[in-house]
Amino acid sequence: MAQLKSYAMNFGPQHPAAHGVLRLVLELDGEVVVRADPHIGLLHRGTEKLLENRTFLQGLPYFDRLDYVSMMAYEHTYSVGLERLLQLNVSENDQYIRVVFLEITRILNHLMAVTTHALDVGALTPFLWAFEEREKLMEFYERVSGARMHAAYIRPGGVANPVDLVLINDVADFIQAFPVRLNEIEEMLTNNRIWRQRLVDVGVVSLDQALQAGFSGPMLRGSSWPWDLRVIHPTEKVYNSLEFMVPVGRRGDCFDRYLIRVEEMRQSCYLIAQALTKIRSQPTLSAESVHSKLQMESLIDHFKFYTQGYYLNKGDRVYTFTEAPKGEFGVYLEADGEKPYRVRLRAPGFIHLSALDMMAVDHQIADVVTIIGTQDIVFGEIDR
Amino acid sequence: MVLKRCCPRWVSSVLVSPQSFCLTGYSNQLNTLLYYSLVFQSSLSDLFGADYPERDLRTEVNWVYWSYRLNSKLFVKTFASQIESCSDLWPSANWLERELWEMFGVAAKFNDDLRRLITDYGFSGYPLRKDFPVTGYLEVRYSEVARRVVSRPVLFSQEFRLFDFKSPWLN
Repeated sequence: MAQLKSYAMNFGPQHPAAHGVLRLVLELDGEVVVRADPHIGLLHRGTEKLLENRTFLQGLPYFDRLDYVSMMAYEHTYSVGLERLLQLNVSENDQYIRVVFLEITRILNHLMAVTTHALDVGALTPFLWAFEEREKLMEFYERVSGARMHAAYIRPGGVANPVDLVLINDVADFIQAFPVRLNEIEEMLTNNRIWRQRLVDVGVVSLDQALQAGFSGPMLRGSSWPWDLRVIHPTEKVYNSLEFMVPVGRRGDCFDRYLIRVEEMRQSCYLIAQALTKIRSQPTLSAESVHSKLQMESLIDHFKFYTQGYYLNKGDRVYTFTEAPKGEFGVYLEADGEKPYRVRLRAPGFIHLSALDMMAVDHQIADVVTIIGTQDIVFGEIDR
Repeated sequence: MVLKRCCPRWVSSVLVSPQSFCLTGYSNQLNTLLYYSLVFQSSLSDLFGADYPERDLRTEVNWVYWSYRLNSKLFVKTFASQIESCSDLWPSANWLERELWEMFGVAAKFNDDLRRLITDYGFSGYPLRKDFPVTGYLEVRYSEVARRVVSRPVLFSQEFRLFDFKSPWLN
């Protein structure tokens, strides 16, 4: 009998289904994966180290660049951390603006996650539709912050600019039309035979496995664990006053996680609709900034404060965690005067990818693509 | 608090805040202990270090757990030059320990897979230590002559500048 030997194959780093720069060394027995060993770090920029050499406010834009498909969610976590250190309170109006943009970010991320997943599995069309919707959402980003993606909009203490009435109306128009677009995407996928054959019962993670592997976000909810930090530890208090549901899967396979992401987008629309009614439109310039435009002393004070940044006592530390679209994003901040002494970024994708071996073993090569897609991997946050 | 009473040798202080408990510990056994006390519905969500070059044991290691039953985060802190691996208890610890090793040089005993994770193949040094420069030591480029990627010492056209002026009005 012929001796069969398992052989190693490189998946990526230039493979389109690797979602960026993932080098995955697969040990194969025929077409079945025996071991999957992800090699990461090809997009490592040393964010944690860089942040130690910037003032707190200069550090903020780095968070946009961590997960470059859900930008505001990450800067939000950092801002919340700083607010806790500075003991700032965010006005209710700003909290509602944050909720609107956090949920826009969630839609932005899940559209990307679901449809690139579909693209990897072989359905191109939803991807094209979703990117049109993403473009509209990024336009909202642009209108409040001036940047399509790297917004630096959510700042410690509130948001960079108040929103105007026209924008509120346009967002309201969008979320009215968007569920229809979602239905169209679902029509293409949910009951599609190929889509189901590729996803149902693939990459099954039991609840025990998910907890042991430290999963969070849709990955954990897919394994039937109702755990959403927006409900349990809401970083914006107004989340408690808004009504929404947390979808939970039953079987813990890729299909459940797909359904969860789609449902989360609907819930996000619902959240945005509620939050929009609570936002009061404000003049573009706040009273303080008008003051600093008119008074020389006030301007100097502002300039001094803005360029130099906050001063925090050495040793002050805080660990904040929020429900980012991909899962739990944690930021540990330890202050040292104007700069952080140490910043630790707990990226959900990092933890999920470390469990890729557990999920992919005994699957076919083609299923590895499905599993990478369902993990919603973005290398900006994994490599940091 | 129960833990502190049970094992005063391991737990030096307990800090309770609304969202989390923070234990400062002496020993790695604490993790095993935590595992058995929290065995149901818990997960290791993070493990990271922080460098304090002025101390004897320069690296502070922090474990962050989710206790789903207590609905809170649990922090375990210790200063160590070497830790014991808990990747057999929590598989997520494996990559986190690898990262800790390559960033701070704190090895995890009994973890047999301490390869470099994030930095380049063949990288040397512990980048998140305070004495490691932000710019690093080597830069890589593609050499047309050698027809491969080569590395060379970092060259600056301008000195690295760190504006670290002490504020005249705060101090």
